[in-house]
Amino acid sequence: MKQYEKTAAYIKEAYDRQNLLDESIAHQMIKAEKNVVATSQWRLMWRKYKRNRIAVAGGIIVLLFYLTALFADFIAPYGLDDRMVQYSYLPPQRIRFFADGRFQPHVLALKTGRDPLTLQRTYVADPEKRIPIRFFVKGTPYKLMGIFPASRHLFGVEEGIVSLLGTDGQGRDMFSRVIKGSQISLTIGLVGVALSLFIGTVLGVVSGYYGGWVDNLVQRLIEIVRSFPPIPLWMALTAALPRHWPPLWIYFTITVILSLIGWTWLARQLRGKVLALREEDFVMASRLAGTGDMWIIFKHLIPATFSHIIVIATLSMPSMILAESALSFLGLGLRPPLTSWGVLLQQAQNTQVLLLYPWLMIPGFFVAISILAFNFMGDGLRDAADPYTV
Amino acid sequence: MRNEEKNNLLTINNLKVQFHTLEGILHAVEDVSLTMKPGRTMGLVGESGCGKSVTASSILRLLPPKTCRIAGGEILFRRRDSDEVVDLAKVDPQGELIRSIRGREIAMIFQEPMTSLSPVFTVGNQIIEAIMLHRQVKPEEAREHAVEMLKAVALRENIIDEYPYRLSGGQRQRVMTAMALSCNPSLLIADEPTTALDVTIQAQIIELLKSLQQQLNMAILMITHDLGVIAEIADEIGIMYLGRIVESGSVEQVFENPLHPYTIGLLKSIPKMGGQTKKRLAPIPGSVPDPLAVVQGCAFHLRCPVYKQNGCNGKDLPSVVEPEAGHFVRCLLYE
Repeated sequence: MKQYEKTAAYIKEAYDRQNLLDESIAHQMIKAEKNVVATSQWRLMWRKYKRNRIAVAGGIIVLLFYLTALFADFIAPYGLDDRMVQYSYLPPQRIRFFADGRFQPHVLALKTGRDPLTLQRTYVADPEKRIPIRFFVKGTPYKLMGIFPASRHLFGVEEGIVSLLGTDGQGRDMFSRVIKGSQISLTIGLVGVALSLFIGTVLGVVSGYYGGWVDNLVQRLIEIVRSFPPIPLWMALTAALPRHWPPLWIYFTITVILSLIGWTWLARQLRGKVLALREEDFVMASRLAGTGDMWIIFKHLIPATFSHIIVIATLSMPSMILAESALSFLGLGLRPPLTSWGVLLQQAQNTQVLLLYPWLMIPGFFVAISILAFNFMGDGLRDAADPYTV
Repeated sequence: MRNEEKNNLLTINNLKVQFHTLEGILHAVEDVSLTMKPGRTMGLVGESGCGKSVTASSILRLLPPKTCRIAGGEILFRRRDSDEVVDLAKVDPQGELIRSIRGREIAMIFQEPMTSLSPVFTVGNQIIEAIMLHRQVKPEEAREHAVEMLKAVALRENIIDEYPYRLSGGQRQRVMTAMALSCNPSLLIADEPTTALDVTIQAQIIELLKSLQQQLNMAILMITHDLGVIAEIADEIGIMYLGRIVESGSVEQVFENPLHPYTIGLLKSIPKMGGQTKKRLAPIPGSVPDPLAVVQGCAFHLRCPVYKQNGCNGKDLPSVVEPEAGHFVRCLLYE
């Protein structure tokens, strides 16, 4: 017998001798397979999201906006209704950061005059008189997040005025009002989306899962809701609101009205998802294990559509914000003293404003930025939501 | 170039393929070398994840470009018309050259006949598309040729106007085969063509491939984990484990005289008809290690029954030795 045949025979014998569950081999195997941990779906999503730079930028802007809204009273140098009548229709001031070669942010003092022809108020900066911008100055007292009483503001001046975005006709600082307005504009989206998510998820999943007449009913309902032109519908609903209601109630009814119309999109999408998912084998397996409909819906179907729901939520935020702005702009939604971006834009409804005081349109810019940021974020989330496909 | 090499249709030398995943670099194929001659069948056998499909895909450069990289080695393929040899490992995977080779000179059939055909076109449409892509013929001629091909794979002529959903798995695999062979390729890569089929259909497909091979004098690279299929069709065989070919030789050599402990274990774990029914099957202990974990030395040592015995020192990476003519093995015991 040749040498290699002997070796082969030796190996064959070794197999025969070998205990099927050789402890030492099993032990080595475990060592070789150490720290093999499957990455969770959320980590995979995060990784994929991080790679999309524009989505990350959108996410950061959204985060900044919400932080600003949370600490609005602190960041805004003036209160919502602080009137400085002597400075009405003041254009945005230029902030100078350096003086005498040192970092010393300041604005220039203003001399007020009147145009002899138009009698319009004019402001002339006085380069001789600098008003330093101070940080953490005492100003109008407020309650931080509605709880903690405080009176310090992030920045402000001790005399004169600092107005980054100009003032309106009553001498109210537009910057402060935009920041305060973001509280309502951004939260109305959150609350509205939360509500429409709830309605949409329940109706969408039920419609997709049960099918038949339930499905038919829900889908026809969606079609009816969708077939109304939205603005007259909003008008009708808001017209029904009693005028004497306190602002907070109005705020919540407006969100309810917005979400009563906004849920249809989510419901349609989830129905489609669930229609596909309920035919999957894991649903059949769950049923074979003896589970009921509710178990399947809450344990299997809704978690499976979760990433989808989050994406839809993010992508429907802009439409909520836009809807609120549109309603308030038309005077159908929120009314002063409540202040949102839409309410602020009401002032910019006529050509006089556009020509003479264009800075009153700045809230529109904030609406656009926040909507873009939400859209970029939602887009990134949608791409990341299905991390298992390349 | 030696005379023997001149006749080779495909020569793979020291091929290395890596996947760059988020968890690290995965060495899917490590140092694989093989040669294929016209009219012969080479079988690649191995467990899931051992790199056999990656080897096949890298010949056609069908690997995902973002994550996968050919890190070394060459894939020398002899063109049919010009007889020139090109290194497929270096060509642009989207380029003109590889596209003229794909389908026309190297064809591939996949594991899943169910999903490899588009559901919205008729079978004939899809075969004609393949023909017209590579041959300057009129649609009517292409259709005639498609009918011929369908007849060659023993399907009825009228199947040409059927949609794939009307066909069974075996019929679809035949259609796939007809499509792959319609341009008369010199190399056919069959990636587990019979795995999804039941045994009788398997046998038919294998017979079909064998007879078509004789008619067309093409080489077949057969990838499977089914040793029975390999024994049936292959002339040469390569046993892969963790990205390496651990043993190769003619079918007779490897099956009758297996040398590598892994091959021996594989052959021992096949259930035998008419054997003692009370006897338990002998599986190879353990399982394939995590592909991302780099195994030092011999890749099989974690599961090897003769590890550190009889002259195996357990640390070195074994090199390829040739104990008998044409029979190669990569094991320290034979060095």
